[in-house]
Formats: sequence, structure tokens, C-alpha cells
Amino acid sequence: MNNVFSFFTERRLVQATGQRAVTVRELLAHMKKVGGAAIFYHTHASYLEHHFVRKRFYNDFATWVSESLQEHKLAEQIAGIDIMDYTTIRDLRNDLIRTIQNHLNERKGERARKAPPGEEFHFCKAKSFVFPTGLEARSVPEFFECLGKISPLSLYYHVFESRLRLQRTTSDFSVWLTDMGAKEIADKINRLDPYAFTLEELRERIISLYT
Amino acid sequence: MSISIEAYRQIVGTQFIDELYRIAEHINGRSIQHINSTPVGGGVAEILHRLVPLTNELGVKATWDVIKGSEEFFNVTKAFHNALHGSGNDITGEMFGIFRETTRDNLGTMNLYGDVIMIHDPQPAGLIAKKNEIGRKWAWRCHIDVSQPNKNLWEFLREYVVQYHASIFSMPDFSQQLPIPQFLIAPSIDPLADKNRELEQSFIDSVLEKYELDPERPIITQISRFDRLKDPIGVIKAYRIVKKRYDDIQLVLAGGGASDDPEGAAVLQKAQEMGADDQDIKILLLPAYSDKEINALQRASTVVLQKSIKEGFGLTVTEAMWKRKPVIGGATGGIRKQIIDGVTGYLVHTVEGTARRIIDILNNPKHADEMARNGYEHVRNNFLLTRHLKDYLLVMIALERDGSDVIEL
Repeated sequence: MNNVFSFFTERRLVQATGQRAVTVRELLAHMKKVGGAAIFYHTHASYLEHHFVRKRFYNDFATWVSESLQEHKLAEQIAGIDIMDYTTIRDLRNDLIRTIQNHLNERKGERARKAPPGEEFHFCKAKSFVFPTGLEARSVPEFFECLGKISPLSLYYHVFESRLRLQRTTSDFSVWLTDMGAKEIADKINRLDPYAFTLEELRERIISLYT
Repeated sequence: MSISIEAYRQIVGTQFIDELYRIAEHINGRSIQHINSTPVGGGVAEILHRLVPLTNELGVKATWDVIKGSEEFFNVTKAFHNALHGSGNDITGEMFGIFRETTRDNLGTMNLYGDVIMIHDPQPAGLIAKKNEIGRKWAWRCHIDVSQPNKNLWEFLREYVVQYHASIFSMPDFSQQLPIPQFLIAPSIDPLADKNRELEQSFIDSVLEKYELDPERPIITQISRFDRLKDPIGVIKAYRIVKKRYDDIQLVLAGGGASDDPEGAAVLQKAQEMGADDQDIKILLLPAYSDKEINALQRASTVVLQKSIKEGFGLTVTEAMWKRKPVIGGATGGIRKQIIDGVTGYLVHTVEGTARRIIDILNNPKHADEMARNGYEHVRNNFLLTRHLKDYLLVMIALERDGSDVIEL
């Protein structure tokens, strides 16, 4: 058991894959071929951005389908896919594909909507550079004190990136807290849906589980 | 005057600056050499002026060199610039010849010594010919909107670009089908440079007096080079529509010329002709190093326009947002990335739309202020020099490491 929790953070370089879509069919075709990093990126990048108004969707595919293609039903179906249900990008991708394929099957024979020029969907992915923040907790109270100090990016790394991209089934936080004998709090964290919050809200919510 | 990286702590937060130092430690003594085509004028030179000393302060050796070229060469690269933006089709074999010749001259005279060599824009792109001889890591940094490039020209440039280890574009829309990594890095402004820092009111007043502008009346401003793609003529037309009912407004069109922009003079002349019969239209050709005056003009403005037809990124939009000004921008290129319509400014497609939004801002100062505040925050989060610096450091690391999507430092 490791008694020290080291808070890590990440910085990212976004990369274009060069693939772009103008219609739902093109989106689907690329979605089948792009690397898992692109699927992860477009289902998570929006959580890292500051939004002046609460976004309708935090899933880039749903946002594009809604805003640029005006396919609102499909957008809601895509956004309705609960990322917490997945422990691998592969499974998440399969369900995204299935959802879009069902939509296309229903719309067979209909003329495909095209995104206006300048609103094409560009597949991207991120290269993450992970490094320690220097903040370390040696007790549960210290842990929550640090949580108030870390950047949203650090929270993102431990909650989102480590769970799905690095394929750990629970967040780093709950594993360590359980080891430290705070299983009750760890379970509460595991029951949280991090995708329902902005990063700042998520931080407050996790801290509130302790205080 | 060199401003310390420490001065940015109060703007972007101490955590971010600490992270920059931490990332810089992982560069492990390697250096970066930036190369572009002009030491003054245009956004690229402005960014490099600030970025290079700050990189050095973090302990990463950074230098900046400029290629040499004749007026004929810069005429060619200006035509390239327009054609990469998708306008003008007059690219000839002779132009390719002039480009190759200047590239050869520079290959013979330039000292290429950086561990990482970052080549900015098409003008120096041919220097990659040295890669096999000298090794190093090469990145091509494209600041131009190449979403719909002239095909012949792009094929010509592509032969150079694919030889680089990586490319960098400002937006995903500008990216291409390339066999090399394409990093996406938005440009930035320096909040502490003369062009963007806070100014004393007395200085702002003196600039208004110098250019015979009345501080009591609304000032509509577009700061940009006199370039057809920035549409200064469209700005005058929009101003005239508004002026019919709001006869107290004043218009400022101010910009400098870049040494690689010979077409600018003709556009300037046309704007001057159009504005000749209206004393409230001020057309100012500002010399290089007018940053503080530009800052003052932006800060004195009621509305800032950037009515571009095509735009790489549109740093004048960023600058105006940073000064908490309501901004109206052409819905093109990077302006679309910066302006969230109705939230951080207004996006427009036409002269008529521009006039309409000027009227909206003049009549709804409360909403204009709210957009301006959002714009400031948007720039602070995304478009400041320190973020740019961080991205270039990460590129230096990425070029050394394997192709993994997660790099542990």
C-alpha cells in the first residue's frame, strides 16, 4: 500500500488527424477508422474548456451533429451514451457507431444533410504530457486540502484520463482513499457521474463528500 | 525592454508559470531556432519578438533568424500567400523558379544550428533541404489559412512540408492530409507588450489629439495591414451605412505595412480615395514600432472591427478582446474560433451585417460590456503568449519522444 498520494497533472498538444466529415455518413466512416485517441478526445475535450454558458452537449460529435447538421434527434442519442458505462474506448466507439448506424438505417433514402463550408467536423486527438504537480498527500485530510489547490487539468487527469484512457476501472482517488481506510468516501466518489459536472463543480462536489 | 516571465504570474497565475519551468526542465539542454521571413510587421514577427526571450528565460536556448529575399521574391511569396488563402490563380512556373532560387541562396548563407528548427510559413519552407545533411528536428509552423489552397501551389509546397518531422497549424480547419504529425497551436498575444499593456489615460488622450479624434464621440476602429483580404473597403462601406443615422461616429483604419507585403500600397490608396470626402474617416499608415499608439487607439475605441474576408487567425481580434472591447469580426478563419457569436463578440458575413452590429453595440452598451468581459476571459484562458510558449516547449519534447499519445515526464 502506498501511503502517499502524488497529484499529477497534464498538458496537451492537440493534433489534427487530417480526416474531416461533412455528412453523418462521413462521420461514421471516419469514426470506424480513427485511432482510439480521437474518440477519447471528442468525447472529453469539451470538459477542459471554459464555457460562458452551460453547453448543451459536452460530446463533440453530438455538438456537431446538432449545430452544423441540425440533426437534433441523433445529437441527443449520441450525447445520451453514458461514458461511465465503458471501461474501454473500443466499447465506447462501438456504441457510438451503432447509434449512428441505426440513425442512418432509419433515414435510408433520405437526402443527407451537409455541414456548411467552414463547419466540417475535423477529427483530432491529443498528445498528453503527464507530470507530477509536486503536491502530495499523506493523510485523508491532506488529500482534500490538496484537492482544493490542484488545477482543473490535474483533476481531469486523475478522474477522466486515468479511468478510461489508461484503462483503470475506478478513479485514482477512490483507489487510494480505500487503501487509506476511507472506503465510504471512496464509494461515494465512485458513485459520482463526473460527466455531469464542469471540472470546478466536480472539484467542489468531491470536496463536499468529505466535509 | 525585456519583460521577465515572472511578471506573467499575476496575469495567468503562479501555477501556470511554475508548470512552464517544470516542462522546460524536460527539454534537457536542447535549443530551438526560429526562422521566418520578416523581422517586423505582421503577427509572426510580433510573437517571435516576445517568445524568444521568454523561452531563454526558462533556460531553453532560443534564437531567431530571418531569411533574405529580393522584392521580386516577396512579390512571389505575397502571391503565394493569397493563393494559399484560395484567392488569385496567377501562380506561374516562373514564380516557383524565383522561390527555389531564393531558397538556394539562403541555404548557402544561413547558419542552421538549432537542435529544433522551427520554420514559420511558406517563405523559408525550402530550408528543409538541409535536413539530410545536418540532421536536427524540423517543424513547419504554418500561420496561414490553408483550408482551401490553390492546388498547384499546395502540391509544390507539400513536397517541402512532408520532409519535416512535424507541422503546426493554427486551427483544425487549416490542417491537411499529411504523413507527418499536425499539431494545432493557436497564436497568441503578449499581455505585457506595448501593444497590449495598460496605458495611462494621458497617453491615450495625446494619441487621440494627434490624430484629431474626438474622445466624446464613438470611435469605430479596424487595426490591420492594408490588405484586400482584411477588407478595409468593406469597413468604410459599413461605416457609411451607420453614419447616415449616427452622424457623430468616427472611423479609424490604422495599420502598418510589412516588408513582405508589396500589394498593401494599392489597397491603402483606394481606402484613402474613399475616405477623402469625410473628415471623420481617419486612415493612418503607421510606421513599425507604433505598438503603443495602436494600443491607445484600441483602448479609445467604442467598437473594434476585423472585417476580414480571409484570415489566418486574426490577432487584432485577440488584442481588442484583451482590452475588453466589443468586437465585430468576419466569420472566417481564426476569428470564428475567437468570437462566440453574441457571447464574446459578433460574427458577420457582409457589409450590411457589420453595420447592423455596430448599431447594436452603440445602442446596447450593457450587452456590449458583457461580451467584452467574456472576450477578455476567453483570451486569458486560451490566447496569451504563455500558453503559446508552453505549446512550443511541448512540441520540442514531442519531437524527441516516440509517437505515444501519453508521454510521462
